[in-house]
Amino acid sequence: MAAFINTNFIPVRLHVKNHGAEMKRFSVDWTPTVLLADADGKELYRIEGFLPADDFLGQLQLGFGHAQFTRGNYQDAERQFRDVCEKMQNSEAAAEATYWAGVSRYKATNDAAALKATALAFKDRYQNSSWAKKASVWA
Amino acid sequence: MTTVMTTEAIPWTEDVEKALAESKKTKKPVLLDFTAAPM
Repeated sequence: MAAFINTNFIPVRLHVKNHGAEMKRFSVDWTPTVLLADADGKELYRIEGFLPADDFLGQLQLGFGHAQFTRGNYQDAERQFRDVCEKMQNSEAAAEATYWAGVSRYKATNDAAALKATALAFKDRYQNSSWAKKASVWA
Repeated sequence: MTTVMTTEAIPWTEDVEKALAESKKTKKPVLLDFTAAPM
């Protein structure tokens, strides 16, 4: 966890009692909340509420993929999302990562086959997830 | 888990502007952990 954070992010910790202005600035109304933001302070990803460590790491890795996606680094984003799919197969993050890996490949290649393949992949796993439903339109 | 709990060392700062400046330099996103837990 720490290695992933230290390698990929600039870490800021703000206590609710001492940082009301920052909570308002980033529209945080509840804790715990973890935000990923770009250098301009623009929100890239948000994680709200407690999660066990493995699930939290999965969400953090998803967030890092989204950060790459937002920057237009679609190949890096896909690599990150595929990594979540592979390493965290039993986590909730894996279904979302499957969806966004397909979208990232499509954005990188402009090949609609990437979306169809993603919809088909959901026939084998995470069938009941909302991400499978979202991808079903591509089948 | 949120709040981020780990036994390994993370160099947390409370200075948002400094972190954003560092983000501009390094191209790494800023991770903001808002917590009510004792620090």
